[in-house]
Amino acid sequence: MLHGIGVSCTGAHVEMARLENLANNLANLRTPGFRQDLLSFMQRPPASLAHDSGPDAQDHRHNLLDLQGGGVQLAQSRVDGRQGALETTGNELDFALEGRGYFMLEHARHGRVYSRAGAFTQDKDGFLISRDGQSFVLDHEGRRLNLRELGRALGVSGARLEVSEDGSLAVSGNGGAAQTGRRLGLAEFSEQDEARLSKLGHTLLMGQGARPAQSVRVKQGALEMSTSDATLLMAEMVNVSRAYEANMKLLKLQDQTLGELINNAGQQPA
Amino acid sequence: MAIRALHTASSGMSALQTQVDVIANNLANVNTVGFKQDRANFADLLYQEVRRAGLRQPEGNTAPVGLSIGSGVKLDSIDKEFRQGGMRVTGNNFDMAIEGDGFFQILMFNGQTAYTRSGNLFRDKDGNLVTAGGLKLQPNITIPAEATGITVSEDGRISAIMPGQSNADEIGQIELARFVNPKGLQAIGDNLFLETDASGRAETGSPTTSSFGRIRHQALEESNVEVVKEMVDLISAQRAYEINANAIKSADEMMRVANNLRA
Repeated sequence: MLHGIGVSCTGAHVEMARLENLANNLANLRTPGFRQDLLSFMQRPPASLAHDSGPDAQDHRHNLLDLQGGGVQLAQSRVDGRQGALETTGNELDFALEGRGYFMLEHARHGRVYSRAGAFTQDKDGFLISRDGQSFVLDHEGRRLNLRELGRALGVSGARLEVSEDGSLAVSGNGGAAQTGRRLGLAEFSEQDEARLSKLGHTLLMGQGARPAQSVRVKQGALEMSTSDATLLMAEMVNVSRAYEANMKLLKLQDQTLGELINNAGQQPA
Repeated sequence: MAIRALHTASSGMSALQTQVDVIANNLANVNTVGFKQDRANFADLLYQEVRRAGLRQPEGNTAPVGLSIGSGVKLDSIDKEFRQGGMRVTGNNFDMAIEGDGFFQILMFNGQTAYTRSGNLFRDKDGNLVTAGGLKLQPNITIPAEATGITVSEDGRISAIMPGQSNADEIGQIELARFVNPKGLQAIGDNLFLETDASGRAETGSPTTSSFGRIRHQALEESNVEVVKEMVDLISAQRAYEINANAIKSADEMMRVANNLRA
């Protein structure tokens, strides 16, 4: 009976974690470049096995506890890799990615980081940077991009940046347009490496195994919206509440039964 | 536990509330000459890494993916969109609009230079070109009281016909300023901006050179706020706010259930 209470507890615990994750996805409903996290669960090993995994663990399998199961636990959180909707902003330094890939950035503290959020700006020296001012945007060879120098080198004054779908950078201005021979740094990962990227906040990701992106397309003047799906999240929230309640009901029921047993069983009828 | 979900959802609510404030300000300035639209940018907050991807598991294998739970959203920045606004022809002699990147330079009462895109100028009692707030254009341009037939060319030269003459005389030249990063300018109200460390130093020059832009005489640059886009943003911000409020309700409900376990 006490074991059952523990099992119900694991259920409630997992539902709580689900709610926390849902709340984060919801809070980032309007964060450009945000990709929602999906939690998954797995069966928890029965208590006796979890505590004793030695060579003779098999011998204890006759225990009733092993047949009951140990409840549930969190297995993993996975980033939803689906494409977010593109929203046109018309801003010269907003970029959205379509397909698999990330912008390459150089963060002041974390070094090389990756992001799907392409709302960039430039600093006072003309470097292309992220909005929080913490990271430089890099080109395909990992060099920082200085818009002012790009324009100056090509003799184009008052340069505007023009980025084509493959990320190649051109500048145009009073003196016409010119290719710079440089491209936005775009990286992709193998499925395994992509799953291992860790989130740093600020829609930044960090991890190993980056290689030049093959199939990603850049859209200038647009941003990729959050992949959080409000309808789905809402439905899941109802689901979480009810599942939590059910676990709690069961816990209460077990408590009551146990109470009956302790207080009433074996007593002489009055 | 559910307490964290409460904070996460409330971070969403407060960020969205600020976005509604920004939208309200944009909409309030839909008819302000030279106004540039603000945009609120969001970013996600830190993540709690319950388990890191790639760690060795007790069973000997490595975890292919990790387990991390985020803690909400924050406002990353609110910055101006310096897209060109539409042109409205007014026919007024002292109305000017800039088509390009430049800013008019305005001398403030404290001697500092401020910058503006709004070119609805006036003539003060001494004939100086001033803003509606009485601040002088810089370099100062004085238009004699008896001058007629004032014209402003694309490159900013102001000419007027003086009494007794048939040809127009040049009486001043407008100089514009531009910034590497105009988003870094500090908006101080009255359509004025101040230079900051983030904007870079002002670079001055004549209209039509480089990307300073052309002067359009007898026209004003309208606010670049797009009402339809703001309305759509307002709707989605409101709904997102609602749904975050619902997450708070859910967390509350779950805590109530836990609280009533022993009731």
